[in-house]
Amino acid sequence: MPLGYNGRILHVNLTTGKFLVEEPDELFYRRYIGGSCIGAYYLLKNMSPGIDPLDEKNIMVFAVSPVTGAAVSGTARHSVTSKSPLTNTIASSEAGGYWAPEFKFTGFDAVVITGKSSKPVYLWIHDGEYEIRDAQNVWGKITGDAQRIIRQELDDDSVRIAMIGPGGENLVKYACISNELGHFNGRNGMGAVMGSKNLKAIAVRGSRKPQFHDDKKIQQIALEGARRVKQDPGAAAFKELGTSQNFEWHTPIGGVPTRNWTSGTFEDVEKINAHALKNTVLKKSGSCWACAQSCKRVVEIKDYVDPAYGGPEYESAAMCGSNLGIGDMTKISKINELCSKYTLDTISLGGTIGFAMECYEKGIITSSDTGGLELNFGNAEAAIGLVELIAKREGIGDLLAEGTARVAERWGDKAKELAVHVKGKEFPAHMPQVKASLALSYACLPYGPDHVSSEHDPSIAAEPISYKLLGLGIDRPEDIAVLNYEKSRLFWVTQCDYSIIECLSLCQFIFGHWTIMDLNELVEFVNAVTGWNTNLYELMLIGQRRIQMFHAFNLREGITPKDDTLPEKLFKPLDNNGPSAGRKVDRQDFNKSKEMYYKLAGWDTETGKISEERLLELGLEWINNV
Amino acid sequence: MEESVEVVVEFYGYFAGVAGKKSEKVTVSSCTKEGFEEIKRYLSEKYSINQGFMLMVNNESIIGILKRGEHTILTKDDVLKIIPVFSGG
Repeated sequence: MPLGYNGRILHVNLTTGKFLVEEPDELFYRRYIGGSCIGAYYLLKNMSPGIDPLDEKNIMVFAVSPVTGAAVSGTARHSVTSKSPLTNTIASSEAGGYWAPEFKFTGFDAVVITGKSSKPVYLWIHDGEYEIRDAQNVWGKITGDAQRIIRQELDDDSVRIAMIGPGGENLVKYACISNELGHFNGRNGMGAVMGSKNLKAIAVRGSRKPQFHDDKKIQQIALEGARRVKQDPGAAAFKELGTSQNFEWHTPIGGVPTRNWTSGTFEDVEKINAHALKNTVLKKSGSCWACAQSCKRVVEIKDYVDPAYGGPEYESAAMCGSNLGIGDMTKISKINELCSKYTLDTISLGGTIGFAMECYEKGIITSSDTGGLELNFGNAEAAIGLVELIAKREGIGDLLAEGTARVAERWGDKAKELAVHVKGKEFPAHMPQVKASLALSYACLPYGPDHVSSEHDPSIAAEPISYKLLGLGIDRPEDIAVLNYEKSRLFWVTQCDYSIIECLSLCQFIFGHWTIMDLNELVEFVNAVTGWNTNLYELMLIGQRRIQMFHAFNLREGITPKDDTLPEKLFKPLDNNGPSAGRKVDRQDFNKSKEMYYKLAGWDTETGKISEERLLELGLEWINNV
Repeated sequence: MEESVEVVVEFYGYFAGVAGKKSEKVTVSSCTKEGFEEIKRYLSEKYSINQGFMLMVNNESIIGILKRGEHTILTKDDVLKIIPVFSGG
């Protein structure tokens, strides 16, 4: 079997209860390497077009990569790929934590799930063995209770469990998947797909460490990573302050999403930024398996917020904080804790509630629509109450569980003008009005808006540009808010390299351009694990292969270039407040940059079709036959 | 014109920790493009801040100003913001 891999992929049909173990050859692994590249392969090969994401014929693929299980910082991630109920496109969602390496040690590289069980079940995969177990006694339970019960049942506290809470069980369109209570496959509603299959959890435990090519080299890389985390000021700050440093970085450029994206400046930002979190509710920093960076936050508020559920990262603090007009760290922490318990994506939740709040404030809906809840911006108690209503689909929660786009359809044209989403998915907390390439990214990504699929504009806003980007040919500085062909190139090129990082199930906080390891070291790492003697060119091809497979899946689903657009709100000026006062995305710049991006990607600008030569270059001619 | 001018440098994010302060006054010998280059040399020599930052004045990044024409003139008490670059989180 190829080094770094187990050489085995587990297939399970929940309808029939049958399992199959596939043993692909090394070339399969070399072409598709891991993560959602493998996921996309199985979705393209085995799914017909037009399947409802909550239908039993939808396929879910949990996958890791050859580097998973090598005890190096940033390797503890796994990918879940499926058709998203939020966007109706192919989507993937990644998580850190502890599940990924444990799954790798069970002796499999991926599990492909089809069908639907007739009753709630969980999968138990351990040291090469696998079974379906009854989950009726944990169905309906929040994650903490379900984890405890399953571990008791299996008589092992070290079992790692990827699971859904009531949000996933109730098919909330943006339900997520949790592991260790504080790590999430957050976006795209993967939790709802699990719920639609009556699949509560996948429990894993293993001792089958894969064989690597060069253990000594891997150890050197691990030690070097740990050393840099200690000595690099940026990495040290990350450990101390976490991702909420984004507030400090976004404030001077007017990039803090505020009150449903009406402004980039929040007057109470100092109450919810990284220092506020550290000085009020932070209990400790948290980590993923084998990682020295410790970027996670764990918060505690006595008798109010349980530290077992982690704590708010920047996205949660912004989307459930400034975007809702809430400047109270304790309330944001409570919303975060509830989302962890019920498994709801805090980004989409914050986007949907923010939208509802603006509709309420503008009189589009009233308290008779909200069941008496006063959905004014800043009403933290109302937001907290909504989390449970959404998870349980009660009252207005039943509608809000559908996500902004579907709610807007119900509430009419005036509501649609306020809605911020692309392809049905809410924006993460980075504003395209001040980081212009995100206008392209949010519009054109196959799974809707995502902030971790390409490099952001500040990276090329100053000289000298990082050598890591120079090495990709990104060598021309540009203003952060300008949208032009240079930004098309920034998006396309870095989308490919972020894609390979994703395929390898690696963490961008270790292997990104603004963090401690670079792409040459990434290549060294892959070679140390696999012995392939690969190079960056091959890895970038694999990254692009994933992007093109995702695009091909969507074309088959009827997604067209017209769907790669932005909400009208972004083409209108932000309110007159702060450094980004009056900023907007220029429509003409957007259309021209998008057209150039399509050309770079090898897509027909009218139909979106992938050129024959691009498919040939990537060895993807078979896509035309599926 | 080559006039010296005193400006305010503000440190954002972890740069405040690196510098040990949130802001300080700096005098540069030129109020034109050379003044910006002096600021960057000063950041590098005094604080080892060599890359991975944006430099903004009057809510616009320096690169943008320079590309639009090298006519930007620094004036007394202009605020230059030094911001770490970042992508995601």
